[in-house]
Formats: sequence, C-alpha cells, structure tokens
Amino acid sequence: MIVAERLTVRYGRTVAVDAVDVVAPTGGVLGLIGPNGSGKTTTLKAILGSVPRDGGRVEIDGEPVDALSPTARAQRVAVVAQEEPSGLPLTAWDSVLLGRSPRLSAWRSYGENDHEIAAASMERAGVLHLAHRSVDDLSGGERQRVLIARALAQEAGHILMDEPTNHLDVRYQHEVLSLVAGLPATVIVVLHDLNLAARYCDEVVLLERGKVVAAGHPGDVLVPEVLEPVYEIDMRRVDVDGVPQLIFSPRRHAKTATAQVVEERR
Amino acid sequence: MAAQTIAAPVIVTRGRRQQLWVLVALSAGVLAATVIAVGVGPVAIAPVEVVRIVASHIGIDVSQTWTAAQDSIVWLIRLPRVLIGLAVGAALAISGVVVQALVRNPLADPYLLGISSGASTGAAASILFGVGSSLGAIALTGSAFIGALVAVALVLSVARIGGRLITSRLVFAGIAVGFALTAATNFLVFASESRDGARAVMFWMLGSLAQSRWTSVPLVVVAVLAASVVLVLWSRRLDALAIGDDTAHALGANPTRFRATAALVVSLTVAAAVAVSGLIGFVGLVVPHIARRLVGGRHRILLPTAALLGALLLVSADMLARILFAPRELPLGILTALIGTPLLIALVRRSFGR
Repeated sequence: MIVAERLTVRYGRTVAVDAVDVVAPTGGVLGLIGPNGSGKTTTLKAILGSVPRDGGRVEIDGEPVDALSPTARAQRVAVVAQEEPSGLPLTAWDSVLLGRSPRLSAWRSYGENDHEIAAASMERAGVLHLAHRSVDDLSGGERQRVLIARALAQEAGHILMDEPTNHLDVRYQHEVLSLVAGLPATVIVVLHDLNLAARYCDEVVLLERGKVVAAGHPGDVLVPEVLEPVYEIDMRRVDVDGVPQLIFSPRRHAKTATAQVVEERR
Repeated sequence: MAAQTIAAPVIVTRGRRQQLWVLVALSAGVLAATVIAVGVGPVAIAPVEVVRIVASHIGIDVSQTWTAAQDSIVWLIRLPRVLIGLAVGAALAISGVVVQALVRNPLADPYLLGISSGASTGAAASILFGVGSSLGAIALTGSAFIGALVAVALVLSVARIGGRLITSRLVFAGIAVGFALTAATNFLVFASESRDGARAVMFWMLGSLAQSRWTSVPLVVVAVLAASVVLVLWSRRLDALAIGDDTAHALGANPTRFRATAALVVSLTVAAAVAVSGLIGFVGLVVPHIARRLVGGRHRILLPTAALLGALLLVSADMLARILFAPRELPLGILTALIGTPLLIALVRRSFGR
C-alpha cells in the first residue's frame, strides 16, 4: 500500500502539486488522470522522491519513504519511466537484469537466481524472444514491455508507471494494461486515456492544476458532470460490459485554445 | 514470481561467451604489442630478447645474452614509454566510456570536462615560467596535473551553481571552463615572449610519449588501475545512468551525486594521463564506440574491453609515430587524429545512417 498525504511540489513560484492525497490500495491499480499540466507526472515523481517534495509525506506499507535508503526503496518500489533511446543501448536482457541491481552489492555479479527471475519476468511480459536485441532497436510497444519486465524483475511489490501506453497502438495499450492489472503488485499509473483508466484502474485520482478534483472508484469519478469542467469538452458516457466508456465531442461554440490566443493578441 | 524455472535464453549465454573471447584476444594483443613496441626503434631488439631483459629486471633468473646498451634501451628508455602508453590509452578509453554514459551522449569525449585545457595551462606555466620547478624531474607532469585538478574543481562547482548537476549543466560548465583556461594558456604564451617556449608548449599540446621516464609511471598506472576497479564496481549504476536519471533513481542510485562522483574519478584519471602525455585526441572518443560494437553496452564488460583496446591502440600508434618519420618523431596527437577521424566517420555513418 502506498499512502501519500498532502504532497506539495513547487517549481520556483509555481505550485505544480498542491496538497495532493493519493492512497493506492494493496494489490490494486490506481490511475492518476487529468489534463496536460495538471501535475500527474510530478505527483508520481514526488511519491518516488525523484523530485524534491516541498511538503507532505509518503508511506510505503506503513514506512515513511524518507526513512528508507535508496537501495531499500528500490527493493520496494519499481518504476516504469519514459525512456528515450540514448544511443548507448543495452540489450533487452541486460536492461531487464538491471532490475536485480538493488538486491546486489557492487561486488556481486548476477547469479543463477537473477537470471531465472529475469527470464521469468520477460516471459511474463512477452518479450523473452527479444532478449538479445538492442533496446534502441525495439518498437515502442516492445520497449515498454521490456521496461515492465525490468520492473517485474525488481520484485518490488509496488510499481509506479508514467504513461506506459504512450506511443502504443490500441492493441498494445490493452495488452500492456491488462498485464499491469494482472500483476500481484500495488500500481500507481499515470494515464491520459480516460477509457483505459475506466477499464483497468481500481481507483482513480483526477487532478487539475496540481489539485485533486475527485478521487474514488472509476464508475464514480468518470462521469461527465465531474470531467467536463476539468477537460472543457462535452462528453457522453455509455456503459459497455459494465465498464464506463466516454465518447467526446468538441464544444460547438467553444473557442479552441489557439483561436483564443490569436484573439487575445489582437 | 517465477512459477516455473525459465533459463536464460541460449542466445544470451552464447553472447556472453563471445564477449569473454574478445577480452582474451585483446589481452593477447596488448601483450604482443607491448613486446613488439619495446623492440622497435633505431636499435631493433628481437622480441625474445626483450622478454629476457624484462624478466632479468623483475628478478627472474635468465642467462645474459644481451649487451648493456640493449639493456638500458629496453629497461630505461622504451619500457617506461610503452607502459605509460598502455596506461594512457586505457585511461582515455575508460574515461570516454564513462563520460559518454554520464552525459548520455555517444559523441562525448573525456576532454569535454575541461580537463585538457587545465592541464595545458599548468604545462604552459611550467614550460614558460618554470612553475613547479621545485618538483624536480616531475615539474611538468606535476603542474599539468595540478592544472587539470583546478579545471575539474572549476567545472564541478560551475555546474552546481544554482541547481542540480544535470547533463546539460556539466557539458556547459566544461565548455565554459575550457574556453577560459585556453585563453589563460594563450595569454601565458603571449606573455612569455619566448619563441622556444611557445614551440615547446605547442609540442606538449600535440601529445607525445617521448618524455616518458620511470618517474611518471606510478602516477598514471596507479590512477588507471584505481579508476578501473572503482568504475567496474559502479558498472550497473553506469548502465542505469546511461538509460536515464529517472531509471537510475528508481534502481536505487542518486543520479546527481553519482554523476558528480563519477565525473571526479574520470577527471582524476584523465588528469593523470594528460599530465604525462599531453593532449592525445580521439582515443577517448573512438575506442568506446569500437568496444561497444564488440561487446555491447554493459559497462562491466565494456570497461575492460575499452581499456585493453585503448592500450593496444595507443601503443601501436606510438610505435608508428616513432618509425614513420624516423629519426624524427611524429607527435602522437596528430597520428591518433589521422587514424581516428575516418574511424569515427565510419562509425557515425553506421550508427546513425539507418
């Protein structure tokens, strides 16, 4: 279980994340949703501590995250971040094996056990056949699944994911998220796609300008009355197989952001 | 999590074996190049004789079949030169590997951190104004080393002004300090009004192993050995940092602190190398690329591969520099640039041409 209370992050004078509460239940998937610039990714980074918090606290299974050494934290929390090709690529296999590093001292090299766990994680993520390929040469979907395999190899019990469906086509979006939903781990995932959040998240937290607007079961949060003022777009909700799905239609009389800027300049 | 045991894919284990063979082959190459390089010169000495002379000096009992002149040529002149060549080549190569990971750019070079400019300033001060003459035989090396250390301190502190040590800050600080120190060197040359001095500074900057003596051997050999051990121990962190700061953090590292510490280790290594050999370009840029093509990007295997390859390349280049225009010696920096440029162009075409 991950509990974050009154998280606050400032970038200079801008408050990017403003007293945000996030409670991810053990074994569940919590979705962080909200428009661009609402503070989803910053919230995720503040939970992990990769951006400094200006307020608030985070507990992982009841222990304050600040009391954990970086290695102890890495043994409990894995991350699937956005990784850009670096031009200095590892093979998929070596990239997944790195997930074992928080459990090894600098003097130890990978053992048989680490190899078995890495192979099993890749098998589970469906990328074992890509083991020898360079990560930079993989397609977006393949690379994302390699990152998930690394997080699995970390055996952390908690996984933070930053838009894992970015750049993926529809099939891979569902493949990746159903893989995530089936994991025996507590997951916090940043998602842009509200319909994916509706289908795969047990809880969602809706952010707007760094503040929580709504939080709870997707069926309760993902309703037009809550979402329309935040996203400034008209939507209709239909329930498909008991899962809420949203259909969007641009506001006919509303000005687009670009049109507004052009007008203001005049 | 692993319900059933799944072994590592065969193709992966086979790749690992190939990597070991690369290391074995390179080690043999380095050994052979060392013996040949000691033998080559105005007085040619057969490889067997070279081995026997060296053996006699390290306490192995061999019957003497060589002259006293051969003995001093091998032991006093050529062996320190070749040893320094090996260490400098290895130092530049592993530093290149690490700097490329630290700034996450395969076209980065160890001199990017401003070290070379600092060493040049120190060397110029010593050559032109006798700075550090109290150090005696190692005056030039010592003041170049101190100049490099000053550059490192400046770069790291400039990079930290007003924020975290991120990649772009490190590169920027390196470039800024580099320009300032190059200006300082040029000013020293201008101020000295000594033509011979200016020429000596220029030759130093072109890079050469001609001044190699036993007195300089410990500095660079200890530096490169210590750095190799430390960096290999950090190899998984380097892997993670090469992927990204977020990944490194997620895997239990502090990317900012680690980048600063690793930059310091690399800087000290390069400072030691530059202090004894002047500025030898391209080794730190090209060797990491070739090594990556041979064994991939995993630092635990990449670092020793690059070290051996760098040592091999530099000793071979120095051998060529000695014989191409004999009795004159071609400055080593010119030769490594001549060999390195086409190699680099070919590598860039293959890496980015797709």
